[in-house]
Amino acid sequence: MAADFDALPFPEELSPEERAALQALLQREPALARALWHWEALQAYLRERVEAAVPDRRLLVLYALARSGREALLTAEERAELEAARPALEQALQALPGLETVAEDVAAACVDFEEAWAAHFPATPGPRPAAERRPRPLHRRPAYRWVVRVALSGVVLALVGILWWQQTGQRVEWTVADGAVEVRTLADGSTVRLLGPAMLRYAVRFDRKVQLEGQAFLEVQPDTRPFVVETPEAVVTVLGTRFGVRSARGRTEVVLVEGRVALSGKGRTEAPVVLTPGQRSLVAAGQTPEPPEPVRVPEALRWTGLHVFDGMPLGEIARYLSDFYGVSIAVDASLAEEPIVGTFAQDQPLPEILQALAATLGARVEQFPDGYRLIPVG
Amino acid sequence: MARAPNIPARLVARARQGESEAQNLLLRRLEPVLRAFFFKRLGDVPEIDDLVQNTLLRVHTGLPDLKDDARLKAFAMKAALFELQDYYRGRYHGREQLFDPEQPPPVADDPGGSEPRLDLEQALQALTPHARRILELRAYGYRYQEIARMLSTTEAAVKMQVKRAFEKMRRLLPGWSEKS
Repeated sequence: MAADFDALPFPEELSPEERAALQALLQREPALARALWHWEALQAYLRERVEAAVPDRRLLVLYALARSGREALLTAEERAELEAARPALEQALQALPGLETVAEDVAAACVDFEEAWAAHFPATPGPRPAAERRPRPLHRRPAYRWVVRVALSGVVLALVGILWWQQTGQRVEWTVADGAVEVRTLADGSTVRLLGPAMLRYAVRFDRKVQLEGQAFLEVQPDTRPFVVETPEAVVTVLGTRFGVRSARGRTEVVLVEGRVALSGKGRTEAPVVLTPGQRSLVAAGQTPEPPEPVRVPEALRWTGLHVFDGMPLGEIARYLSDFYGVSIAVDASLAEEPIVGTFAQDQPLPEILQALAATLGARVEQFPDGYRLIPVG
Repeated sequence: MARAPNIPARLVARARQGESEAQNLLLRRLEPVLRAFFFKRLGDVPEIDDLVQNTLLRVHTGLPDLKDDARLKAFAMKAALFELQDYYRGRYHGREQLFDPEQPPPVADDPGGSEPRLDLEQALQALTPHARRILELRAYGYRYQEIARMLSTTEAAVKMQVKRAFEKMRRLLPGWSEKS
């Protein structure tokens, strides 16, 4: 096979046969050989320059992460390393513009990793660059919508189920395996976070009535039609709300985040128990619901994999997060009593959560070796 | 695609504390993510198994340093990014060159000519910024196909730039003429 002159600048891409043909050609053409010698020397020279400019490619990765708005992904130690190396890195990027492209490619690689992660794990919100982050709505004052949290046991009242089935016809059966978490939006815009093992049934032509076995956290959109959650032990009726439902060992637990809920024991005729925000009730099979009791919503809904803040003052939120993540989180006295309504996934990085909380109040986050502090801007 | 259970913070905590079963489970759950990531970045290259295993080793080794169980995803991402950088660095290292760089060029330079290093610097200065960026990326360890993607162009266009750079360098060589 003859060597192609066009292939000369790419000797590393030649097959063994092409390489042998090229070497034979170079024996006959010394000027060509000289040119190729210098070309290889040029490549080696560039490799030396790149290596000298960025001896530790980890730092270039950290630089690229910080520059693309992903500084929250860095540990405190990595931030310190990066700051020490930053002048040299920026000088290197100026001297070798190709390194700018490398930094952009690192950011693109982050997106690829995020997609690979999302494709393999359930859809829980993950870390996103601060510049792109759209936090779940945070309010300084709670907005009242109907919320029901119903926890149900494993006992199914077949008669009711059959009647319901006949009325609603074709149904969707959504099952989540043990240990899995899935989130789905229903036809009316309500969302359900189903924590396995669990199952949710509802009509294909959605009528805001669902049957639940297991655990779920629901955000029900306001509507003139009531939203009904039926479990083996209870019937929960809401208009629009956020709530969690947990069924285990013959009992249903309901925790209300916002709004108002009517909770009935399945098959019982007594007047329903009404829950108000921050209350919990338990329903055992064949029983009426227990009187509602106040709970701290974030702790009571910790099993959902979410941090649910229901108007809790920021100071208490800081103590809750501090306990959860094992780091010190201080809040300036001027911010401590500000109520916050919002929801975060527990696997969202703590710095991102704190940034979102701070942004809501026009505050900022300071990081220290042993923790964080939220202080007003200015 | 069937989705695996998420990685709960409890599992990470147990793995950090040295529980072998938890560590194995954690790494098994990470493996398909890493495989998909490297495949997306590099295509179906033979080294993917090594890259995945090396990254899992990084995660395993670094678990005691993971201070926040909820940060596993960020931790794994950085491990994968670092591994990828090492891969790029090692891609052309040790590749057999046509010539021994320690030996003089096949034809002696003109008496009094520049040292090769000075010629090389001059050659780099003579290149267009675009061509120089391509050569720098190649020196960094990227393939021409990857460089084309990064620069939003075609591999053919990138190689054309390289050929022109080669020709420009040839013209700078002492004693070069059109007949060379």
